[in-house]
Amino acid sequence: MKINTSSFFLLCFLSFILLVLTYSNHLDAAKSGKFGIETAQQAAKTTKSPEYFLNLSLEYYNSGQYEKSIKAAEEALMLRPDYDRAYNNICAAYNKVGQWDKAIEAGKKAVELNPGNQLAKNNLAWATLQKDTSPFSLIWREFWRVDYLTPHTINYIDRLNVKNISFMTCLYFVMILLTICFFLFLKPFQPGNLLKSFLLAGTIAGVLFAARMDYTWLMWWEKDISVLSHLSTADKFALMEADNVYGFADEVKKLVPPGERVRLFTDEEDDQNRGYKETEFFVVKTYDVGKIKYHLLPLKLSEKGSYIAVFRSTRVIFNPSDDSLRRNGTLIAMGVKLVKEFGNNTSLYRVEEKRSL
Amino acid sequence: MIFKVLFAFMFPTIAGFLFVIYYFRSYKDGNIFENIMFGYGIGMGFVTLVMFFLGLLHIRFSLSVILIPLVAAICFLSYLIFTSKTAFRDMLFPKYFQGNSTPEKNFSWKKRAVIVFFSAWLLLKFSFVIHEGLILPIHAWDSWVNWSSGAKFFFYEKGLVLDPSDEHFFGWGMRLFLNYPLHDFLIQVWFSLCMGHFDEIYVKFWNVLYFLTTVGILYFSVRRESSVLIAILSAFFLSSAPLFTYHALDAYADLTLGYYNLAAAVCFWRYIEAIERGAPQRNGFLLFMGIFTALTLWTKQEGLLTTLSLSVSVILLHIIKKIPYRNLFFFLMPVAIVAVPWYVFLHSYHIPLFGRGEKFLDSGMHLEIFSSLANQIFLFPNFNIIFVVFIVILLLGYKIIFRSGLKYLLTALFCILSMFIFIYIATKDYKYALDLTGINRNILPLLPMIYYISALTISRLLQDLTTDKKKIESREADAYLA
Repeated sequence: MKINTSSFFLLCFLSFILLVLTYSNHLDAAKSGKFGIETAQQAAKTTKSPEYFLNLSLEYYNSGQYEKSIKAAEEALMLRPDYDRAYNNICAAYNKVGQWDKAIEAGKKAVELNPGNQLAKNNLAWATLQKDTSPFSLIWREFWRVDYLTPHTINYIDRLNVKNISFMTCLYFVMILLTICFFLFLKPFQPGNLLKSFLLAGTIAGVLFAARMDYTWLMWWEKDISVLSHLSTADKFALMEADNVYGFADEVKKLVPPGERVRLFTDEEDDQNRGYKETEFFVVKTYDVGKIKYHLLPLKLSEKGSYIAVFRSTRVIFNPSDDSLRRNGTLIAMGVKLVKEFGNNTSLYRVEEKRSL
Repeated sequence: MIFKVLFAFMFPTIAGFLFVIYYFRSYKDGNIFENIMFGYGIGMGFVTLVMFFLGLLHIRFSLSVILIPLVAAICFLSYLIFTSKTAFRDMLFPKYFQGNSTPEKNFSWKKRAVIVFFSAWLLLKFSFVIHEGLILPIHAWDSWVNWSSGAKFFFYEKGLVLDPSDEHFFGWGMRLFLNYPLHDFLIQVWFSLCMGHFDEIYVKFWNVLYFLTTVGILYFSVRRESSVLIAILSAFFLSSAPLFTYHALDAYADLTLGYYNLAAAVCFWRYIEAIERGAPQRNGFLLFMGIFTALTLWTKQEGLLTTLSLSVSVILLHIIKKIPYRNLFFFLMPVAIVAVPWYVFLHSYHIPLFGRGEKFLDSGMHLEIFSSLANQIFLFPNFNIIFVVFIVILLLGYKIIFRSGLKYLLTALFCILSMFIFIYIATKDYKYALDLTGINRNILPLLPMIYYISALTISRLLQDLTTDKKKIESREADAYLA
């Protein structure tokens, strides 16, 4: 069949238009979050893996479709009934729609399956706290809750609040109330009485604060004594690796032979609120193990690596059925073998066939 | 290992302590524990300076090389002390100055019980911090990437790697910012040299000691002005601030900066207080204030704000009180001697003092940081309730503040705060205020100073009340007699 020049150009033009339209559809979809959902849906349908259904559940959750998120997580549970992260997603989604009983049920199962799942513990604690409607009970329980202040999570202590009323606001309220009481009952309107009343009330409020915070420190001290004090420094890092980059890097260093390159993936750069976008560490990068003598976190970037480190990423998913590693559904590498899983979405992989790296 | 850690902080502390007692030998109103605590900060600063100059001269870091100047300083100071006219015993155990403080014998059993209760709580907290400091490794990302990573590099290189052609010049690639002052890095190197290796747990123990000494200095300096109860409560509340405790357990520099800020403020207050009492001028305090201020410049870049603010305040004091300007020399000399080498070094190696070369207001005004600031200081449980108490105390005691020398301390504090706020408003750093990663850490170094000023104001207010009460009683007695 002969094709003349004008027909050829017409065909090219039509293909171009088609391409532009498809691409613009994709752009729109990506903007509205559909792109991630569609990709996750396709991935889940084709592979039938619980990890992909979990990813789909997360995508639905992030786009505010909580019922679909629950269904996707339930699909993941059909494939792997002991999947604690799926139960956690269900708990989180029920929390969003205010169904506290169901959230508590799912959260309890997640914690039962994996007692180290801190996210599930937090979601369960939130559901339990919200279910209780008595404000005094809420304040009392909030006052003694320990899971927010730890040596590792101090940045998150702003979350100390009861139904959006901050713990500090409660303390100020107590302080004002006590000041008024002392002022009225201890020889009112005498010179200096206001000052004395305020100082006394301030001391009581300050001591309440100290009691609450030091109680938390004491709980953590007790835990650290029983868990950490008998371990060597290396073992402490091994225990803490999922929570800190330095410990993780040290672990990776032990597992990767000198001279090999490691490519690092993490989700943190997507988190708009933390402002880490410009920080070197939180972009996809690789580092050399052999060339740097002392540790694993130089600030140089390169694009290849025969090892892949995934640090606290829910978006990078390993599929053991075809040995592939994908980030948001996009293929990162094929022929990948898991070297070690550290927990908390942190793992190290070795790329055995360098096909798509 | 614990003996090596003891060795690492004992040697510099002894040198610093001897320097303090020799210089304060004529004042006789110190306290041996307070002097040890001052000695710790000065000794550590001295080690930093020694190591910096060794690095500059390309002399390999080793324990013996650093010990030589330390031992020489100890010997020289011991010689000065033993040849001095003041008896060594008097220098070691100076008479405790009671000043405006309440005699302890007036305390009722209830007050005594309260004091015992808070002392026990404080001791428990100290035990927690010491023990956690001895079992937790460096665990925070910021702490690692800003300081410990570079310190480890300097330790293995046994020097500062000052060859500009080197791939890792001055720790480049191992340190995020080359212009960060060296105190934190070099103290970790010093601890590692004493231990023989870079131990990720013990290498940061100096920060636990800065925690203890900051709380201790606050106690003794408030005790000098006030009752044991107020002093113990100040120390207790400072130690109860969660962020303050947290920083003691890692290798951050903010707590260290807080120590030097407080030490400088205490020396400044003792200088002011001597003037207020009409006692002979005590230039020694001005000198120590200068040393501590200079050491803030070696600790963090924010030390520049402390230096500028305290300079403004000292100059104001000299103008208002008509004190001879030559006294300023005692403050400016140590600042110049201790701090200038660092800036000359930065300039000569073309390392910019401020990271990005950004001009003020390039990114516009960011007034939105005020809500974040208010959130951080009032609604986040980082600092206990001190900020609300501080504001109320300022409102209740403004007359006393303006009447007394407290206004100079407050001027310095407000200058530092204003400069911080201006930097946040006018530079790209505003994002660190909004994302809550920077602003609490910038406030932390001012926390001991805020507790100190609050305690001083409260004690003055209470003394004022007692004086007023006595006046009323005597007037009533006069009226009755008449």
